[in-house]
Amino acid sequence: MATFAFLDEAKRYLCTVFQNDSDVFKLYLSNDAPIVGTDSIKTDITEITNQNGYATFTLTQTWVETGAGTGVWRFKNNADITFTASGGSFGAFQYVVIYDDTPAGGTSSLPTDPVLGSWDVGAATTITTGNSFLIDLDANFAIYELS
Amino acid sequence: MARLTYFTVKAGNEQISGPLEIWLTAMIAVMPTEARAQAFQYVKKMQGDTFELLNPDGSKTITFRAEPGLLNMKGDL
Repeated sequence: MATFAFLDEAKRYLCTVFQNDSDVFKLYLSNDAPIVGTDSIKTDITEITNQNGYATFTLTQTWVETGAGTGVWRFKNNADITFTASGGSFGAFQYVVIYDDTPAGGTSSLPTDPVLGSWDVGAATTITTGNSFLIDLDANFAIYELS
Repeated sequence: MARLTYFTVKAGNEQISGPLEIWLTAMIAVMPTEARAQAFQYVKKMQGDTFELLNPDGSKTITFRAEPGLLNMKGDL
């Protein structure tokens, strides 16, 4: 079990860059430890090779208030996410990273592929053929909540 | 095969967890009888610091519980 960790820069992007209800957000696996204080875009955190059942995953996210008038907003996917190795292995990876694939300005005010944050799986993990890696989100499929 | 340093085995409401240096068989041995039988279904093989989890259907899924992040507009942003 691990809690989603935000990059420092992502907290600024939340108010300026991320369009939670309309941008295309994606999830990927990495074996490159995110540096919370300095990393900010996808190229800072190297993705593992897309192969053998693993490919960058496009979220079907919603941005919704948890209840009328609660003031708590939830960024969530529509389901858990599973990658199944086929024809070989994928990995090793230790981090599950989420970024916004829509911005492409290439500037600090409008960066290309800004990263929201990541989960730490806890150890470098390789999934061999026929086996699966399940990202088991909570009961609401929440990635983060803002109150 | 996943390489893990910490494990959790659940069976019904029973659960055991621990670092891999603890002998896994010994951990299962202290479980209640009904949970122990089910736990053995999930523990297929252990080699040093590497082991596989085996579901009853033969497939192996590493389940990673991903808890949401929490931000407060006044304190975090």
